Amino acid sequence: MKKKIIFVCATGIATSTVVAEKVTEYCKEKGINVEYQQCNVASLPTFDGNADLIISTTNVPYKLETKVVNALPIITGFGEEELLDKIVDILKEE
Amino acid sequence: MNVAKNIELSEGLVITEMDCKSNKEALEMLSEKLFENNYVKETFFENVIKREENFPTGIKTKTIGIAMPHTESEHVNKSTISVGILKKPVIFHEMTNENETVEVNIIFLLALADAKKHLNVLQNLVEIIKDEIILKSMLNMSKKEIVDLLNKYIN
Repeated sequence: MKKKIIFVCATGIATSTVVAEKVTEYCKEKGINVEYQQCNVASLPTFDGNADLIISTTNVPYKLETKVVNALPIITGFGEEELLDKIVDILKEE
Repeated sequence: MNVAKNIELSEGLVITEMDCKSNKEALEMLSEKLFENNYVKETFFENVIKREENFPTGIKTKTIGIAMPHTESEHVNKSTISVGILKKPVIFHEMTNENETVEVNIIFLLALADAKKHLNVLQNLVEIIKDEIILKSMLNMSKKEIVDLLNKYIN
């Protein structure tokens, strides 16, 4: 299964990088090949509709077509497992 | 040791027992250290504040609040992390919910020239953030102990 994810954070470099690694590795273990891009929140609207999922570590102040998931649990560790499973479920549905 | 993946850490960039009235004051003190030592450009501080106002970096863990402010790489000369330990917490806003406040005792001010190159550093920093015991012990460490700790986990 191949899926496209956009990882977004405020600057598009720090937290989105860490989250991207974690998520793509987890998905790979579950048989999902992830193709991804990172961006900052300001440029997010231009990517909307182009991905299967948007995973964010910041406030997304837009109404978007693509589903958005809050990835803070991956940084704090709280609810990280559940979040990763939820992401896999969403991707399998899309 | 792959030098490209590691970053320079030094005691000169750690301030313990900070006593500040606001997050801006704390960030100013830490940014000064970075600027004095040539790790960042003059534009770093104002951009960190601007970014913090629009996209806060406060994170609530089980007991201690931390913040990991940073800004775009164009304001950074050399990658490093400046650490501030506060006796009395200052208020930051939460990363994914700007209406929530976080009482922060530990600030990891990140100066990243190239985040992809330093992915290891970031991942390991996140591991420290998830560890309550380490965070709590940092509150009482000396500057040298903090640098040794970060070097152990991050480099």
